This record gives sequence, C-alpha cells and structure tokens, in this order.
Amino acid sequence: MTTSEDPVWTTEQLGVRFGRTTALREVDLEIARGQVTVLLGPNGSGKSTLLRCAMGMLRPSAGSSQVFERDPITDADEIRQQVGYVPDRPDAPPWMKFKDLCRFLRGHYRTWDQRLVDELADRFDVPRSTKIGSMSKGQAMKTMLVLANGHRPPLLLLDEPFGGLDPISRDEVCAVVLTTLQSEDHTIVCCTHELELAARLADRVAILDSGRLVEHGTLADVFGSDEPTATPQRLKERLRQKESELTDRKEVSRC
Amino acid sequence: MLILHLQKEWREHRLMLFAFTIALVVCSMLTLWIAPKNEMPRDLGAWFAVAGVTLAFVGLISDLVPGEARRGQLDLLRRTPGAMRTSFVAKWALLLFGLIACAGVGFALGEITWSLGAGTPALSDGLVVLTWAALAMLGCTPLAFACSCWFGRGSGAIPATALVFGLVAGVPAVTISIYRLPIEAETVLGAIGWCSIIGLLAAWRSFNGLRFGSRWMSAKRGLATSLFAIVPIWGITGMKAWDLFVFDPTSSDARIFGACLGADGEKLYITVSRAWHRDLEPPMTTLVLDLESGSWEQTGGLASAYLPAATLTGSSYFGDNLTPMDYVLRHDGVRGDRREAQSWHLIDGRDGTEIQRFEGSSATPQAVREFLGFDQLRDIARRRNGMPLLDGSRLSVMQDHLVFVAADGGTQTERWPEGDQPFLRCGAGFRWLEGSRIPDRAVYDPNRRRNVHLDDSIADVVFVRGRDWVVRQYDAGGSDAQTAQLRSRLATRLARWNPDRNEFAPLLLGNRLSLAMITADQRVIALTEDDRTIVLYDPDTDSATAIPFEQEIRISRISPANYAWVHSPGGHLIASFLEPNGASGFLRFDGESVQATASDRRDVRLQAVISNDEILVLVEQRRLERWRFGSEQREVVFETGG
Repeated sequence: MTTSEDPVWTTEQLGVRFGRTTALREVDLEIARGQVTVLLGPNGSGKSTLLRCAMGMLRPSAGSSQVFERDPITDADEIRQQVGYVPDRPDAPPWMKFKDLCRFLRGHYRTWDQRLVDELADRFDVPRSTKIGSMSKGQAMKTMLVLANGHRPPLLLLDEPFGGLDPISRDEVCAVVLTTLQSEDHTIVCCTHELELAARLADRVAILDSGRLVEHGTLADVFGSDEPTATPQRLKERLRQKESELTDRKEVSRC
Repeated sequence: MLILHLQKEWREHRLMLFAFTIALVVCSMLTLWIAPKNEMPRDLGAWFAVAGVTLAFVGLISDLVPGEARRGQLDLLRRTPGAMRTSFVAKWALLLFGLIACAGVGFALGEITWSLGAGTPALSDGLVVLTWAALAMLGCTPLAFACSCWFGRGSGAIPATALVFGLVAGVPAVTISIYRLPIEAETVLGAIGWCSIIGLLAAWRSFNGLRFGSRWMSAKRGLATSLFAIVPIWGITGMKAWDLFVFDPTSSDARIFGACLGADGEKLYITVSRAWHRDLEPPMTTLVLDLESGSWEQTGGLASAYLPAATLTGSSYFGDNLTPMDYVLRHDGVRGDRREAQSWHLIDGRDGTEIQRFEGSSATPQAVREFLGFDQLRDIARRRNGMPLLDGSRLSVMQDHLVFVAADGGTQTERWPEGDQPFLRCGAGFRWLEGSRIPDRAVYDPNRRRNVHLDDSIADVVFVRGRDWVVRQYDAGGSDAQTAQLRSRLATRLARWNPDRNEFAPLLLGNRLSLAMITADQRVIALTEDDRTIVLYDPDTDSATAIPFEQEIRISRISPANYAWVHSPGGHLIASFLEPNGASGFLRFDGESVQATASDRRDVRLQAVISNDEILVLVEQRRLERWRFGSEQREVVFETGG
C-alpha cells in the first residue's frame, strides 16, 4: 500500500539508447507523491525521453522504471489510466474539435470525469467548436492540459507545456497547472525551459544534462534558496555552473 | 470505443476513397470514349474491380499507418490506454471496407461501361479474374499492412511488401515453376491462408511495435513473425523438390513412364516420376533395375529419361522399342520449351556402364550416332529388329529400298517394286496406299518378294492405320466400310467409314471378321471372337482353314494397333486383346497357334519382349510385371506406390 510519502515514480540506473546515441544514462530518480518536480536541462538533455519512459512509450535499454510500483512496459495500459500526459505539441488529429477529442478519450479511461473537463474548459475558456489544427498554440495546449486531467490522474507528466507560448498564453497554461495543483492531490513532473515558471511551480528540481541526472532536490537544496523571486537567477547561475563543470569533465576525459 | 476509432479512420480516409471512386468513373468514361465497342473485353467489370481494389490497396496501405506517423498523430494512440489495439482493429476494418467498396464500385462501373458500350453484362466471364484478385489480396494485404508500419513514408510500404511477399512466396513460386512441382490447389489455398494468418500476426506485432516509437523495432518484430510464414511454405516446397531429386518408389504418387530392356536381359532401364500433376508434364528421373537381384539404383538427376532405341538408330524402320537394346541413351536436365537436354549419356545396355557422356545443349542423338558409327548402329538395328522372314533373314526398309539381312550376316538390297510409293505395314506384309500406282487389292509380300493380289472377296481390304492390321472393305462407291467373314465369304455392310476419324473400334463387334493380317508364311489370318478360332487364308489356293486357340480366353476385340511389327525373338507376331469384361492381355501368333498371356482389367502396356515366351508389361504405371504366353503366370519385377 502506498502512502503519501511513497514515490509514485522511481528509476534505477535508467538508460535509453537510440542506435548509437545515448539519450539517458544511469538515471536514478524518485518522484514523491503530491509534489511538483520540474525537469530542467538544455535541448537534447533527455527530459522528454525520461517522461516517455514513464508512459511506457519507450523501452529502456538499461535499468528500470517503476510508476506506481508497476512496470510501464508490461503494465502500460494500467499505468496510463493513472497518468495524464501532455505532449510538447498537440498530437490529436487536426480536424478534431475539443468535443471530438473528449469523446475519443472518454472511451479509453475508466475514471473519465466529463463534468470536471467541462468545468475546466469553461474556466479556461477552451474553444469547443474550433478544430485543433486551427487553434493557437496556447489554446491547443490548454485543451491538451484540460483533457489530460479528464481522468483525474494522480500523476501528470507535462512535456514542455510552455514552449513557444506568448506571455499571455503562458500565464493561462500556468494557471491551468496551478488550478490542477489546488484541486487535486496531484503529482506533477514538468519539463520546461521557462525558469521563472519552473521556480513558481517546483517543489523539487531535477537537472539533466547529456542524459545524466546531475542534480535532484528541493529548490533550496539545488539553488540554496527557496525564495521564488530569487530562484530564476540562481537557477541560471546553477545551470551555467553545471554546464562548465560538465565541459571541464569532458575535456579531462578527452586528455 | 471501436466506433470512435472507426469514425476517426473514416474521417481521415473518406476523401481518398471518394477520389478513387472519381478516378474509376473517369476510367469508365475514358474506356467508353476510347475503346472500340466491339473489342471490349467481356470481363470488363472484373478488370475494373481489380483496378479499384488495387487503388484502394496502394492508397490505404500507404496512408493508414505511415500517414498517422507522418501527421504526428501516432503519439495520441501510443499514450492512450488500449488505443493501439482498437486502432488496429479500426484500421483493418477500414482497409477491408475500402478494398471491398472500391472493388464493388469498380465492378459496377465496369459492368455499366460494358452495358453501354458493347452489350449485356457478363458476370461469369470475370469470375476467374475476381477469384485471383481476391486470393492475391487475401495473401498480400496482411503482410503489406505489416510492412507499412516499418516506414515513415507510405511510398516505402509497397516496395517492401513486394520484397517480403517475394521472399515468402516468390522463391517457392519460382522453384515450383522451374521444377514443375506438383502443388495442388488445396496446398496453394492453404499457403495463402497461412500467409494471411501470419501476415495478420505480423501486422499486429509491427503495429504494436510502434508503441515504443521505433520503426526499427516494429520491423524487427514484423520480420521475425513473417519468418513463420516462410518456414512452412519453403519447407513444403523444399520437400517437394527433394522428392523430385531423390526418387522414392514407396511414395503414393510415384509413377513408371516406361522401361527399356538391356540386350542380355539382365538390366532394365526405367524412367519414373516422383510427382504427378494432372496439368503438368511431371519431371522424370531414371533407374536401373537388376532383374536377377531385384536391386535398383537411381541413375539420373531431375528431368532425365531413357530414350527409345529408335531415337538412337534414327529411323523407326530400323528399330523397335520393345526389343532388347545394345545401347541405351539417357538425357539429363531437360529444360524450357525447347526441351533441350543439358547432357546425353550413352549406356551399354548389357551392364549399364556409361560409355560416353555428351555435354551441353548442343549435344544431340546425332552426335551420339556419329560417335558410335551410324553403320554399326544400323547393322545392329537391322539384325535385331528387322521383320523376320521365312528363310531366317530379316527385312528392313530404307527409303525406297528393301534391305534383307541373311542369317549369316549377308546383306542384299532391292529396290521397292514401285519406287517410293506410299505404303503401310500390315502384319508381315505391306499394304499399298491409296494414291499409289499399285492396285489397291495388292499387298507386297516380302517372303515372295512380290505383290500378292488378294481374292475378290477380300480384294478391298485396306489397312487403315500405319500400325493397324484392321481390315475394311469398300462397296462400289468406295465410301462404306464392310467386314468380310472369310469362312463364309460373306461380306457384310457394317458401318460407314470415315477415314478422317481414324477410328476402327466400332467395326470390331460381334462374330464378324474383325482383324486380318498376312502372316510370315504369306497367309491371311482372320480372327473371330465367338468360337475362339483363327482362320488362315491362303491367297494362292484361295482356301481358308481354322486353327483352335490353345487357351480358353474369350476375346471381344483384338487391337494390335500399338504393337504392330512387334515380334518375339523367334519371329512370332504379338498383339493385344480385350476381353468382354474389359481386361487386356497379349496374344502371340505364329502360323499354327495362338497363345495368350494373363489379362488385367487395368491399364496395361507392353514394355519389352523378353524372350519367345515372356514379355514385360507395365500395369497402371505402377508395376512392371513379367507375363508368360500360354500361362496365367505373372511376376512383379518392380513396383511403386507402396
């Protein structure tokens, strides 16, 4: 039986390779229940790959991953019933409207809550009769976020939900995430480049670089302060510092 | 849930299906406009259906899965619980619907085009085309679906399908075609069904492999599953091919084509086939049987056969395939429509050793003849196979000359009495053909070395087939056939003779004269059926005498057609007979007696004359048996079929 302190997602020595390219290597991670963990790192550092491993959309080449103490490969369907996933770009057919997508997803989830979906859609002004292909990126991302909450998942995985959004849209999407946090005992893992938003959302921060998990802890652990306003600056500094450490390490290893 | 996926697939592909319908309509209009009305094929509907189904196949296979990936929508299915399974079913449903609908629309348009252009629709004419198209789709579509999962672009799916399907079915098909393997229709249907089932499994594993996002993983899974389709199909083909190369006489479909007897009577050279197909000439191979020990060994590879002695001697006048052979010729590796052998083997008929091998398709029996020496071969053939005459010499015919080979080996050549006049052999004589200047009542008698003019009552006897001894009699108009009863000298009009039909069986009925021939001692023999007697007619004295059968055999028909010119080493003439119950046997004649062998209701064919008293008979292409004249005795020397 899981308690509130139990991790909802753990990885041990997790590695993923795409041919000769190593996307993840030896990642040990523990995501605690009810917390917001922000995955930070440059492009190609393995953030999206890590989330896809949790969804069973990628098969690890090394190590293991457990979500709700289940294997995402063998128990993929069961895990997906408990995980909401928002891709970095809308993956629904562009001809679908919000209501089409609702109807499509409703059939696949045992715990689908249409009332909640309608309520969130109304609150965040999700366009119901616009095709997804015709929506702005912000509208589409809000749609995906609302629908990802439709089955009341205890774990929400967000893959770059703020990427490419204008400030207004970004705030709106952020508002959805925050609302989700308020209304449910959600665990959220979010990949983002938006350091300020990350600082606003994160309980914990994990930093990935070149497929390695280089830091993982609370904001205070990682940046020495949990002051939200100061965090982005410290976050940038910390990232730069990590980057130079890694560069030095690579040069040493080359020598 | 399935309905949602069906709606999704329909929504994404309905335009494509409508476009195909429009394309078919345009094709129909173009056909009406361009094609001459009187040259429209009667199965136009079927061909339009094939066009429709091909369009749907190519279009849907190229887009159902690759299109989903190309549009970036595959992740929605991958991350949604149960969506891959349901989507797979929905995609298949749409694919089947599309194939059937496009075939139906194409067929209807084709029939309408035919109706407008040429006449009334003719569904039955297109059933063969439709059946083949349906079978091709059944075998191909699942594998094509699997292949389509391995590529990001739909254009790769069709070539990959061709490659995989070629691997699964192409290699066996080529093997079957080259070696003419006996593959039954049921086996083909089974293979198509197996391909469908495995293809469907491969399709699912390929599609499900995409849930990890890797087309390589999808391809690995699909290809691994497709191997299950390859294994039994290749296995069955391989076993059939093995059966052809390695002859197994216990196999139920092993058959004997024919046998040649070696000169000393110790070796039997048998041509067999392992596999039989009702529509195809089966590939053959060869065995040598030692008649003393009963042991045999396979001597030829695939497509080898022993050839009749006439092939070696070069002329049917000099040879008889049923007499023991000094030389046996075998060809190997006959291929293609030109039936050219890859090698020829000259075998010593006595001990079976190979004297010489002639390589290459350019080698021919002519080369073998040149190697042996044509004169030597000709002398052997004349001595062994010439017509036995009363004085112990043998007669051979060579173009417009008669060659008499005396018992001491001396040769005498005489010109035909009338040069190159056409003739037919009839027993121990030669019947002049219509159109020659010889009177048609004359038969050339080689013993007397002159033409014998027949009595008026049998003056119109003709020997109607090259190897027949059947007698026919004309009336004054020359168009009706009659038979004559020699003892009573009564001619009976029997039936109208139609030379074009080349048919004599209806004339051989009842107790009327059914067969006549000139014996070696220049008498005419008439065989009757009801009292089992032979009537000997002497044209010199115009007298007829009867001799009794020595065996109690009731004969309803005597048919020497296939065995004319056959004689035992002692000069007896040999013919076949047919009993009223349908059993066939063989008769041995000389001037004084007739002796019969056992008889069999099955297909029996004379293969060789072993001695004066014994012949070798092939029964139902299964058994080679030794039959004795004047006895019911029969001995199996080689048997196939278990």
